[in-house]
Amino acid sequence: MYHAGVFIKGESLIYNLDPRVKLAFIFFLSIIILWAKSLAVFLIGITLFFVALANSIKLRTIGQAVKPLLFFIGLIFAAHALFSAGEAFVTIPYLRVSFSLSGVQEGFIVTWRFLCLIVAAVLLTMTSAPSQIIAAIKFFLRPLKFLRVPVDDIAVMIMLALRLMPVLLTEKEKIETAQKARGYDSRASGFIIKIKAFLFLTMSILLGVFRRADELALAMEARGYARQERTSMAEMKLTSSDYLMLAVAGIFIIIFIALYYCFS
Amino acid sequence: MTADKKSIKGIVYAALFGALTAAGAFIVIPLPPVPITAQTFFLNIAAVLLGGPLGAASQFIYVMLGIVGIPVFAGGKAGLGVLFGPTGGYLIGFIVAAFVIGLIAGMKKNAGVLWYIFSMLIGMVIIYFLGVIQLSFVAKLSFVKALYVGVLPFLPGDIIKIILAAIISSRLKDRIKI
Repeated sequence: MYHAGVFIKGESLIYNLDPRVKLAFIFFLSIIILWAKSLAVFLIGITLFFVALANSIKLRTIGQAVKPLLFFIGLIFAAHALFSAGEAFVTIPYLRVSFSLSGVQEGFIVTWRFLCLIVAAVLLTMTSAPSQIIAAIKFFLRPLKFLRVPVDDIAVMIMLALRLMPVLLTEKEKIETAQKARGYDSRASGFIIKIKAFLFLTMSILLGVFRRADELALAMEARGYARQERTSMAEMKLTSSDYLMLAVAGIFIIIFIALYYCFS
Repeated sequence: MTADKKSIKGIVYAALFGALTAAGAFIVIPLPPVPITAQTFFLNIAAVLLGGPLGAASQFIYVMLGIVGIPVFAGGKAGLGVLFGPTGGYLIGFIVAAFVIGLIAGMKKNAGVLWYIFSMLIGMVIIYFLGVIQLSFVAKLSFVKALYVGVLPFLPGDIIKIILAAIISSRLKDRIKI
C-alpha cells in the first residue's frame, strides 16, 4: 500500500540533519528548480541524483515515485513537443504530426524540472520520520499563531489523520470482503450495480467514520484534552552539521541570485 | 450544519475527513473506461457535511499528509515537490474549494441534492481554475493548452463524482452531529 518515499531508518549526514533545516532547504530548492535556467536545472538534477544514491535511496524507489506522474508528464511533454512554434525536424508521415526541435528541447527541460522536484521530495520524506516532519511543519506555522490559527491543534490533527488513515483503509477492505462474501462480483457486474456497490461502500465507511469520530472526541474530552501549547515527542536541536548546512545553502542561494542577475 | 469551530469534535471530524480524503487515493470508483480515485468525491462530502471552515481544515490536513510523505496525492504521489509541481494548484484549490462549497451549501436550509450539486460545481470550477493557472505557469504552457492538458481529460469523471457525492451527502446530513 505505502510504497514510494516512505521513511526507513538509516544513518548518514542527511538523516541526522534537523527536519526544519531539511524542510526549508527542500522548499527553497523547489523554488530554485522552477526558476533556474536550463543548464543550472540540469546540474541540480544530477547533483540531487547522486546525493540520493549516496544516501542509499534505490533507483527503484525513485522510479516508483515517478511512475504515477508518467501519464501527466507525457501529456505535458507532448503538448510542448507537438504544438510549439519552430522548425519541424521530424515529421511522422500520414498523421501530419511534426516535432519541432525547440519544442522537444523545451519539453525535455520542463519534464526534467519535474523529475528534480520529485527526487528532492523523496530525499526529504525518506530521510525523516513523519513525526519529525510534523514537528517541523508546526515550527514553520508558528507565526500564524498571531492570526489566531490553532497551530498546536493542527499538529494534533495531522497526527490523528496519519494514525487513522490505515484504519479507514482496513475498514474499507473489510466491507469489500463482506460484499464479496454476499456474492458481489466486481468484474462481472454491470455499471449500475457497480455504482450501487460503491455507494454502499462509501456510505458504510462514512457512518463508521462518524462513530469513530464521536468516540474519539469523547475519549479526548474525558482525558482532559486542552487546546493549548503542547509538547512534542520529536525534540529538535540544531547541531553543528545543521549550521554548516544552513551556511552552505545560504552561499548557494546568494551565488544563484548573483548568477541570475548577471545573465539576465 | 454550522459546526462549532472550537469543539474537540470539530477537530476530530476534520482530521478524520482529511484522513478519508487521503484514503480516497486507494479507493477506486468503478467508472468505464478508466476507474478513478475517490478523492474529490470525499472532498465534496467533507465540505458539505462539515461546513466551510472545518471542511477547509480537513483538506489542509490532507495536503499536509502528502507533505509528510504518505503517497496520498492522486496516483500515489507525495512530498513537498508536488505542491510546486504542475499539479500543485489543484491541491491549493482543494482547500479553497472546500471552504466555498461549505459556505454555499450551508446558505440554504433544507438544501436538496440539486443545491449540493450546484455548490460542488462551483467548487470544481475553483479547483480547475487554480490548477490550470499553476499548470500553465509551471509547465510553461499557454492557458488554452493547459486547459486541454489539465481539465478536459478529467471533466467527465469529476461530474459523475459530484453527482454521487451530492446523493450521499444529502442522505447523511442528518446523521452527523458536530
